[in-house]
Amino acid sequence: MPNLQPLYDIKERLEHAAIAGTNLLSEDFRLTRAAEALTPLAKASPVFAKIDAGVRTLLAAPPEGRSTALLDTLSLVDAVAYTQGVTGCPGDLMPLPPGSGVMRPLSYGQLHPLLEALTGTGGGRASLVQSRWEADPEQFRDFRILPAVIAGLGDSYGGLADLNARILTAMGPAILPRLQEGFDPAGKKDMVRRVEVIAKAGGSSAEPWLRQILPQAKKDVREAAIDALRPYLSTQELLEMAVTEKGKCREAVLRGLAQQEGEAVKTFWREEAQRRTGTHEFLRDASSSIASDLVAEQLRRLFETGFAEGWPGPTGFLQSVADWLHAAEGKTSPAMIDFWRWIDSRYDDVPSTLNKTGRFTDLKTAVPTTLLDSLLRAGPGPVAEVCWELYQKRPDEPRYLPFGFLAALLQKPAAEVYTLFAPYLLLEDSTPLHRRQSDALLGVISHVRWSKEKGRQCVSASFPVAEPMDPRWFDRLAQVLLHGPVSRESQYTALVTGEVVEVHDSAVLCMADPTDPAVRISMTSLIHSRMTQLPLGHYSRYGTPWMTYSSYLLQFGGSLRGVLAESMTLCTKPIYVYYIWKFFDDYRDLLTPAETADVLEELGQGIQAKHILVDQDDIAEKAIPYTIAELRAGRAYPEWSVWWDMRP
Amino acid sequence: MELTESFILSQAPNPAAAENGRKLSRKGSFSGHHKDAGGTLFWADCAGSGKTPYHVSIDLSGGGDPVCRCSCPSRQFPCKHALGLYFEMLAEKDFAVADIPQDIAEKRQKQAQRAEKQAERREKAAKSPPKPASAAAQKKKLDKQLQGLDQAERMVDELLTAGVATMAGASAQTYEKLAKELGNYYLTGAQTAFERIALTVRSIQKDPEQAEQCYAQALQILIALHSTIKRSRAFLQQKLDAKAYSAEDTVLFEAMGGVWRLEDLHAVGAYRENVRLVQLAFDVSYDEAKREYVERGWWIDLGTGRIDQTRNLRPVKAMKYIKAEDSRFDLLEVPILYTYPGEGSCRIRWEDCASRSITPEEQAALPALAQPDLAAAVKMVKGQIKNTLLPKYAPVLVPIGQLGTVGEEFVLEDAAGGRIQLRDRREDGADHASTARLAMLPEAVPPGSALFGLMFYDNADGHICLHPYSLVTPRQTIRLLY
Repeated sequence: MPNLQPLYDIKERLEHAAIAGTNLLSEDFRLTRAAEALTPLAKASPVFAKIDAGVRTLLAAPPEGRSTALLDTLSLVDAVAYTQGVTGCPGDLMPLPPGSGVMRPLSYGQLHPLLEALTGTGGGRASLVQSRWEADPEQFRDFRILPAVIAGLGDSYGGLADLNARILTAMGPAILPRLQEGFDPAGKKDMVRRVEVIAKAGGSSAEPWLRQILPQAKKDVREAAIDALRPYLSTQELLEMAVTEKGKCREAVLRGLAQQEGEAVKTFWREEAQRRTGTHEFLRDASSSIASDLVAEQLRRLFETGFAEGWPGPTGFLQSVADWLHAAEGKTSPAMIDFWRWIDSRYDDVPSTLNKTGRFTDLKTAVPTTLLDSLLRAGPGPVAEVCWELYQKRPDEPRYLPFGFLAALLQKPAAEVYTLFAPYLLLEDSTPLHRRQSDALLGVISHVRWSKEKGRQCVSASFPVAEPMDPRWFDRLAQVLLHGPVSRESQYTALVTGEVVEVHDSAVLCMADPTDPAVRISMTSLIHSRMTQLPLGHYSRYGTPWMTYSSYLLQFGGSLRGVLAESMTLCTKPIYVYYIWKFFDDYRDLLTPAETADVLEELGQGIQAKHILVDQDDIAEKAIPYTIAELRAGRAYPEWSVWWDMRP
Repeated sequence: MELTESFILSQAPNPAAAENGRKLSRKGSFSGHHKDAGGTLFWADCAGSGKTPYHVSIDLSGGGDPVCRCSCPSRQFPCKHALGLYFEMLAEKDFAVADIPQDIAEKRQKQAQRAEKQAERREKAAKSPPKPASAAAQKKKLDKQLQGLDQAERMVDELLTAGVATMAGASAQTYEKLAKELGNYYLTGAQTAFERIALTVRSIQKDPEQAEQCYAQALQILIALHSTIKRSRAFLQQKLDAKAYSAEDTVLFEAMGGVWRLEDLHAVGAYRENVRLVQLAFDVSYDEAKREYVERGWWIDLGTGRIDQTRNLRPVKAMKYIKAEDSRFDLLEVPILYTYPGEGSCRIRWEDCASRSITPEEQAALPALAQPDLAAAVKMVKGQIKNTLLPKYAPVLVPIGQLGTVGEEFVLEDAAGGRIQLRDRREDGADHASTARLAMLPEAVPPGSALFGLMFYDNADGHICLHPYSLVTPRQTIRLLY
């Protein structure tokens, strides 16, 4: 093969001449030199001779003919260069190993929007990926999509990056080789997510790889690797790493140690608590008995110091007590249970005081609150037993009532709980102590909710009560809420109307079994009253929360006939006609068409008589009769657009 | 007609419409499923936002070209309701047999009458060829085009005299203005070339570090334009001298900006009959100079092994009125396939076609349609790309001996030991990157496979390379792109 360098040189010079301008062509001595170097090739081949002739014509051309000559020659040089293009690639050819993706017959219309969402920028991407994942998770294994999902672990939008992580995790151990390929142990957030996905998707099979990358892993990746390795690291390894690791990586080690048992671990934590503040954070979520013992030990030491040296103590002391109390939640070791007994015996000495920075740290409130929270986290067992024990010691003391009541629900027969605790609820005004008792008991019922799945009430949504609550509770509660001396508290509902409802009403209605006929009667009577009366005090300005209570009424099998229209007349502001349509649309499963038609008829009459204020009564006046007619003719409840189109 | 998901997607005006149709089917919006006794008409009601449902029907009596009807006001065709009904049919929902509704029967009748009239018109047209346009007008147009070529040549000359580098200091508007001027001379091809130059000016001004690359691009445009001017002038002059004003079977017609109509292609004999086509690959790119999306399908003729391309052009301004194309996985039987004049891979179009699944035997025969070996493919491509009027790449199907890597490079080796480097063509952009996907192929490449892609000359090192698009095995076609 001839040396083609002169050809490439002349090509370069001609291109340069075009860029610099043909005006300067006569001064371009490099072009002349390149033309001379082409001569031997021109003698050897006609095509090079043609190029040579072209270059000479160009160099000899008058200024006005140069452009044409230049482009003619360049066209020819380019064409020859293309024909001289080389192929081949010397060296050992390594066959491609089979990849781990799959091939799905996805068209451009299916692939491109997904790839764009995974690799692009801008809003709406996560929802597209989410919906495609829900519709067909298998397509994410396609060898064209999978790399984009993996690269998407580093997406600038954290929500999408997390979604990608969930998608990859769901693929299971098969995805591990793809994630391990190209892994950068010194990488950033995307590599951290890779470690997390590998650990979750691979389970114990990921352990060898995690151990392998640990020596090279840096910063956040190292922290993630230690976190992922926690279940597989021995106590000895963790103790050694607690010495060698620093910063967040050490914190990951401490999180691991907080789950370990053994004397060496106990000694470590004891020293750690003495040397550093913040140890309580690692022990707070730990479930080991050592962690529980250590928290109890620290609390006892702190309280003894306080009792001996006086409160509030040095700067940060009260905060430290509060932090360790927080760490005690859910701890159940014998030492912890002993601590609750001990602190109860010293409760009169527990201060309600200001710390030095002026921040109020009311330990007198914090101690029983922590015990209640501890019961809510631990459920039945030693904490419930100590709660019951402390309540029994002072059954009249309002602070023991909440956890005594919950402990009783978790452990005692339903009738016994009712007999013991129902009398605390006042039906009429009484002494301040009795009012405090009644309020304390009402305040704790929000932690008890009816669970349809478990067929009984649950404490803290997790622990079923020993027996379904005695139905008598609900009659009494309804009476107390309607007529008793209850401290009123209200809250906004989550509904679009932003209605204000009584906090205790919501708690009781959520606790009641909607399938029990006796309970239904009690609850519908409470709801009827609420719907047909204005709220008390300043809440009356918000009007009757008709939508919230109507939905409760339907859940408890009540009828809206004669109630809803009356409730709406008590609304202080005009009701949006959309809310009326939406309410009946939302509850079309609970309402029969006949009942909907009857209730709408009552509403229509109220609107016509101006007893019910509606913001767009012109729509209501047409849409309501139309809907009644449709329903009575056996047709479906209309869409909103039908109502909306009836505006004048 | 065989109803497949791929067929439904191909009918949709855009991917979103297909997805919306699928959603309607999934959420059970359809009721009153019916079909006629012959299974040529399917109809149902689809709940919409209004109080009355839409009446949707799909009429299959026309063979491979179903007629979708819907009472909704959508301007998309077919609408999401019709696409939803397709998905209902695909899901084999229970369609009760019933008499064809009166309104549809009437529409069918009208349609048959229209088809009859159309056939009559065609027959008439075939018997008596259309009157040629006025010779004076044609002559006037050719004169104008010749003037335009002179104008374009002056522009090229001025730019080269001053030097391409002067573009950096010029305003892009200057070139846009020149491009606009060429619009007066029926030379849209030259006009586009100047619009591309204006774009390179903008690129230089946006990123001066890219100037060298932009100059090279501009120079390529100028070389092609110069060639077009030169050959077009000779071509037009010859036509003027011969007083022959009809469209000619030459690539120059399109290079100057001419637009082929199917009847013109038919008139110059640029068509083939009874062709079986299979799509090897599909891609979409954006032509900034023309402000349009180009949806390109690469098709192989099962009879001849010839690879041609469909190009669906969707200007941004008219996007919603032009149906988007999509990948096709089925086989098309085309009674008349129109082929644009040119060398190598030509643009193809058709009016009617029937689709069906490709049989295992047809799939097995596909790799055998590849070039005999790499050397033959390279020779063919070199022959094409040296033509200044043709793109600097060409589609090829090459036989695979072995796929692998040499160092960092992906390499294809044929049975004779010839090798070619597999690379992504930089000009196509990152969204066309496909070479790295070879490493993820789910299984080893079976013997007797072929690789389809675009062969190109890489200016960076003077190598002829292959940008892989699809792997064609005897069992399936694995698309690395779309």
